[in-house]
Amino acid sequence: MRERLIRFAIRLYPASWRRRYAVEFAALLDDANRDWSDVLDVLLGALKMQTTTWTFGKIAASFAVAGAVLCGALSFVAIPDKYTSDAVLRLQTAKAVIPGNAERFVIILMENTLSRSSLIDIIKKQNLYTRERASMPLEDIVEKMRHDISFERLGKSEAFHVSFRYGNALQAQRSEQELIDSLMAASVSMRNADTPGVHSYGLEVLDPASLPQGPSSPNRLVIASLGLAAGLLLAAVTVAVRARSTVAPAGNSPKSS
Amino acid sequence: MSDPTLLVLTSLAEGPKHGYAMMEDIQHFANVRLGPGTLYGAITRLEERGWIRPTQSQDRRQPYCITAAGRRYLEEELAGLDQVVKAASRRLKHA
Repeated sequence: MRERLIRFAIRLYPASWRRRYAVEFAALLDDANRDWSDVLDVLLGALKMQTTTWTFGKIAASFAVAGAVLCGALSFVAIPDKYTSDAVLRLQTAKAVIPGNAERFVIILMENTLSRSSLIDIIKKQNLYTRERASMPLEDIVEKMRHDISFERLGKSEAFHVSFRYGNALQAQRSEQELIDSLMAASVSMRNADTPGVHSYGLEVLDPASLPQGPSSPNRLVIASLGLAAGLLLAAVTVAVRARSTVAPAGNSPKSS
Repeated sequence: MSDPTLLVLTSLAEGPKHGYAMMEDIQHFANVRLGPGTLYGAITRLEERGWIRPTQSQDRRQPYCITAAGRRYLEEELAGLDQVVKAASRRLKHA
């Protein structure tokens, strides 16, 4: 196995190098006690020798492809898929209302829905963040869930976009539904309690919690593109460093190189 | 000192040697084992710079010898290293 690998590694050296050194290099390998570190050493030697003879275009293309592939592969290993369930709600008014109270109504709804007790209830009911719960305090889990929830007013309309992002599509949808139910319950409760200023408002579900059809993040195309750009940058640095250490032709004064 | 270039030049300062003989010699005098890829990387660079050259060979093993330019380079590098060694020794004594 080692013998085959080392013979294969010799073939990885540039053809011009092989024409000049292959016979004596093979003789050295026959003499030496080859171990796995030698296999790696010959492989690295081939890589170095190749890069010293490559043109800028070849270096740039290789580094860019390697960067894109590496970052793309790392994104699969290190960044788990996230699924986002969306819903759209609309604010309803029963009668003429005081301007500004709508914002107050929404803020109270959000405070209720994002409260510690409400979120812990959803986390436990939907069995969310099981891995994190094994190592993190519940307060941190609640904070993490708050980051995964998004409330956004759609332009200047009375509609709100509510979303929840999670690592499992079905759990994302079910939890999103729980959030919507919680918002609706808080709305009814405020109306029933005749809360001053906001009791005239209500909520209507325009779009129920969606079942995500595919992951919403990470965007692996963007990650691979960043890897490609980083590869190009590294290629430019490599070529610059190589140019600085370009050797003087044979016969020149040693220090002139 | 583990710079393969200097190690190879130091080995050849004694006389012509082929690759395996250099590996053995370097292991003996510097306690550094150069891998085959590293050794031939250094040999390639040194030959390009004109600091070593191949000599007559009877078989597949190719001996190399140090050139005058290579010897000058080695002397200059050793003089630089010698300064560092002396400075380090002085400072250790006064520390």
